[in-house]
Amino acid sequence: MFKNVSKLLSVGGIAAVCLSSVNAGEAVRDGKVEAELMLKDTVLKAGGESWVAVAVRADAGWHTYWKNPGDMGVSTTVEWKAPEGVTIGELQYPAPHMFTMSIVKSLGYEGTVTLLAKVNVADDFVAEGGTASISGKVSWLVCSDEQCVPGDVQVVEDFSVAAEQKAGAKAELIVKAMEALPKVVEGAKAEMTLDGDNVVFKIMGVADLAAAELYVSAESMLQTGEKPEWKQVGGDGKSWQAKVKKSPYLSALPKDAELVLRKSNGEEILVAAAAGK
Amino acid sequence: MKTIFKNVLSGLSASVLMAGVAVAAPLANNSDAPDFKLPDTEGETVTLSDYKDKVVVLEWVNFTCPFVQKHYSKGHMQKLQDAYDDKGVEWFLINSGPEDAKKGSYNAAKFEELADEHSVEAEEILLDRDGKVGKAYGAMTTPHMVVINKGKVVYQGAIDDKKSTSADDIATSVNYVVKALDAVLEGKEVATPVTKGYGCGVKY
Repeated sequence: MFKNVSKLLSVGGIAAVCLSSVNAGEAVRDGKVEAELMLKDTVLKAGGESWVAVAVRADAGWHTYWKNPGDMGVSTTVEWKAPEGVTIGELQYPAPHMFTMSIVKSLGYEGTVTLLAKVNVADDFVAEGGTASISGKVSWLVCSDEQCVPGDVQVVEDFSVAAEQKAGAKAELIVKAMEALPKVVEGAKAEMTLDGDNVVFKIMGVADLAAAELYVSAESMLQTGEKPEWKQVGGDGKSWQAKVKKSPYLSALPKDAELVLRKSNGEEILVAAAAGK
Repeated sequence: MKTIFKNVLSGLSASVLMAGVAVAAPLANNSDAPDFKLPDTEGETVTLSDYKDKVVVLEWVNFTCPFVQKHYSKGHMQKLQDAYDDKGVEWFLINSGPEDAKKGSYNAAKFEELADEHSVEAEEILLDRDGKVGKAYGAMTTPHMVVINKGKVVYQGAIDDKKSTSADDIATSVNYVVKALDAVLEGKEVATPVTKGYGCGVKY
């Protein structure tokens, strides 16, 4: 019955966002989300290392997505722009939470999340005129129980260069965000193998994993929301096996993946997992 | 109109239908398409097994979803619906979940209006209010696409390989539904029978 309706399209779709000039250090809003770029140190030094953070603040009732968004959704990403000689590392995400909508399970963050990346300044870096800036195009999909809206903003912060590195006004917030990232445990490692409909992880060097939540950074590797079957192996209290149902879309394991574990005491751990034979 | 499930339907899988289970996963490739009877926006019942000799496309839809708008705002989806209609393909849109305008799960009249507004070229919009059909097909996102050839599921998943909300990406995307339909119409195997869908969550 809808056939042969030859009316022209009258749907606007999603209008492109027109950016007005972006001021350094300012939070910028697009729809339900406001993003802000912050530098731990606003005075950097040649050869130094620091951190850049992007706070992504979704309105109440709205959530954004982890690196691996799960059954639906799109990961929040940042496209960095920095002067030559300033290198921005890989974006680091806090441990995700699960959102369940009937059979649809996704991974992300309700409200505010702060994403982080390392900043490295080359030994011979010179900022022309003494100041420079780091900017990022932050892109996200934000969803409520009712709808989803994509968004992006351009955010920027200035820094100067001197012989001594100096913390900026937002340093404390960034340190807090760094502490909120899942911890890398010295000596911990994991191996993963495909066993029929399951992925089996062997995790070594981490205590108290019984009943831990397990998330993997690679999309379409595990069935989102399936509880792992934990088993302690070996007598050191730090060797575990977790069997988790694989995603129906997984054909071969990736060479490596990041495992995020949330222990029953709330502690969050990051372990690098490599594919075993 | 009330959705009625009958448990015996010619040659099609009754087990999934009766159980009405949430599979949260694609169906086995080439398995029997779970049969259904769903009301369209005019209250007429559409029975999938009436099309058991045909090629059928099921498209899960929600017009408030930006991933759906990506494919409708510039007429791409409508063009496909029209082009394959000419080749004898039956194309149905399905909206799963309880009626709730805030979630884009509108009543029949509003969907008629939206179909007109979007120049939808599909046969009908089917209303799967209790979500049983969506769940039987493991539909998690809008859009979610299924291609059925003579009662067998031959493609399930994303419409294309670019998980974005920008219509500008369509020109450079591989459209899995087009690939599947072209293969089926030429009597060939579908090279990529299952992909992970992308989009907004279905509002069950």
